[in-house]
Amino acid sequence: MNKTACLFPALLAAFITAFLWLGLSRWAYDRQVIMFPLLVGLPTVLLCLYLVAGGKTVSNGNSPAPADTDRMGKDFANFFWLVAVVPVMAVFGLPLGTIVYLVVFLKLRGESWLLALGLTAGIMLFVYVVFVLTLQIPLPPGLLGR
Amino acid sequence: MLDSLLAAMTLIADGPVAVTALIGICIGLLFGVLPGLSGLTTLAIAMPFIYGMEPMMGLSFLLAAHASVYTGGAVTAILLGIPGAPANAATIIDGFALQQKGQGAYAVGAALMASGMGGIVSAAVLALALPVLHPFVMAFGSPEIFLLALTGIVSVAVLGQGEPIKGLVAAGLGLFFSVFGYHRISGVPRFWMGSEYLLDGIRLIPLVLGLFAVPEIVSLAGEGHLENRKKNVTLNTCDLWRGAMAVIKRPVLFIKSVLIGIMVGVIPGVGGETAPFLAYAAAKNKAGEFPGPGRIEGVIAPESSNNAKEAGALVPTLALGIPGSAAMTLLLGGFLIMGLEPGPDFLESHLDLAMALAIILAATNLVAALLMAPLSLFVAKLAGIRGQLLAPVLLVLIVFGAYSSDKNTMDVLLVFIFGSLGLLMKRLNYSRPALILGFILGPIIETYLYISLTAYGLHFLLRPISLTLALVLITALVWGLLKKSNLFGSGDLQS
Repeated sequence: MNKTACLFPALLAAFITAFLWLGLSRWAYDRQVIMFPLLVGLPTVLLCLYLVAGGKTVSNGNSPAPADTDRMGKDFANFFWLVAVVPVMAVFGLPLGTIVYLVVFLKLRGESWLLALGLTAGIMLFVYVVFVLTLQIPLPPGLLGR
Repeated sequence: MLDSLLAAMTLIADGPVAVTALIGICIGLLFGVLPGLSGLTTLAIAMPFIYGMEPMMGLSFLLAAHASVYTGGAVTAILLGIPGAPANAATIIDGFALQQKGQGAYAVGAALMASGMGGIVSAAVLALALPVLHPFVMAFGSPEIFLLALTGIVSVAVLGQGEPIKGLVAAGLGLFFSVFGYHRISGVPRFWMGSEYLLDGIRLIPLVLGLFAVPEIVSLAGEGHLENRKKNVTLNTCDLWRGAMAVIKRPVLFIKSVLIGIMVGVIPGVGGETAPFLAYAAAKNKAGEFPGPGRIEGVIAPESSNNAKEAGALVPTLALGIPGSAAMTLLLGGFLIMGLEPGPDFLESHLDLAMALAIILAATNLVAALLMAPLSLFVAKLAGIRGQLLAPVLLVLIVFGAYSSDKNTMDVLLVFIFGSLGLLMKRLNYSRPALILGFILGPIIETYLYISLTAYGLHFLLRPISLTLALVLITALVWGLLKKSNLFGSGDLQS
């Protein structure tokens, strides 16, 4: 079993355990309130530990192969390209941030100026018609717009 | 039953339900044609748009968008050898072979007729089944609903795709996510960490978008410059019509495939992609002598079952509140957004709405097939759009969709947090539908468990229906674990 495949259930177990522990000790929830989280949390933690402890051995052939791990690395590289939209929108706001992000994303990915600007204009027109005109949703201005 | 049918017709005729359903069909066909975007992704992306709509409008929009995905996907499967949705994969074997023999239009005609008719017949079965099921499900009390919901989650976790233990972990995580925010019984806020946002718990929309849409967009973004998918294809109306007639000439194959679709759809956890392959296998067995691919039966069987399975999956979703497929799990989320809780009480109070959804499903299948026939050639060319261009477009859609659902930028941030969880789950083979189902059914399970324990103590397990459901639950659990043989470490059991 590779590291990521072990680390993931370990993190899940830690996440659930932390909340259960806080619920029992720091927040001292009533028995009625904490009962269900305990009922679902404890078996999940045990199953996670089973996965971590190597109950699932390499021999069953279900563990991710090195090629899968490479693919996961590429996936997360692409994921961070997408996550970049969050800080851009936080700074420029939702409408302007979308324009900046789309143009930069498409240009850095090797698309032509014509395609980058044309696609961005098309998307912004769609956003304007659907979200602003039809649904009348106020779009946040971002840090620069305040 | 006639009263319910008339009430259902009134619901559909009242307001712009037909228009929203038509928009849903167009979106579904488009997403069906675009490779890599399944019915699940379509539902996830469409879901934020139903906020503020009337229940009938919102649910029609979601159902129409989802049900038409497979009709669009069949065209690209046949003409380009690219399944628009995973459930169209079985159609490629014979459909693409027919296209290579110059009979693409013949195959497309058969696929559209099989899809449309399959959807209509199965929707009629659904409309007939709901009133019949009504008195049966009314015998269910709190203990039975609790056990039924638990059985549904366990079935999806262990019988669905992926490894059973990981499926159970995913379901457990979904249940745990559902406990954040106000406790339904005492009103005490749980695990909110002083954040007002968490007082109402984790929101469904960011969770759904993160788990189902973000991983697909990441895959699309990674595609880069693919080889040109466009191929020279020509279609003529005569061949399309001849293909449609081929379905009429094979009633036994058609009915058998539709029944397989409905049966697979009804069983929670079996997975929508199974039905077309089972129908295909059944068609092959019947005419075992025919050699190699390129037979029209190999197109009719999977496409008939493909659309039929959606009506089958709606039966347990509407009657019991237990989704028959992963997509129905998201549709169940749509019901909750609309303030409706499917299950025995739902059939009692909203039988007209349930019947209206069956009619919408039938109409969607018909309209989608009729729309695709003249547009096939043009629409198939959309499959040539590069993933690198689609990814930012879809990203903008989910960002604006997540924000517009609650007008809260925190939702946008959570889309990406759950997106990283979805990516890991996808790559490490954890069941994402099981997580969503656990999340949606968590509050129901907690409430009915509390009522059952308060009213009957642990004796609630000894009620006849409860006992039967408990046995079904244990059987599903043991069978799922044995079938995939992960606990026991021996591959022999799999055979």
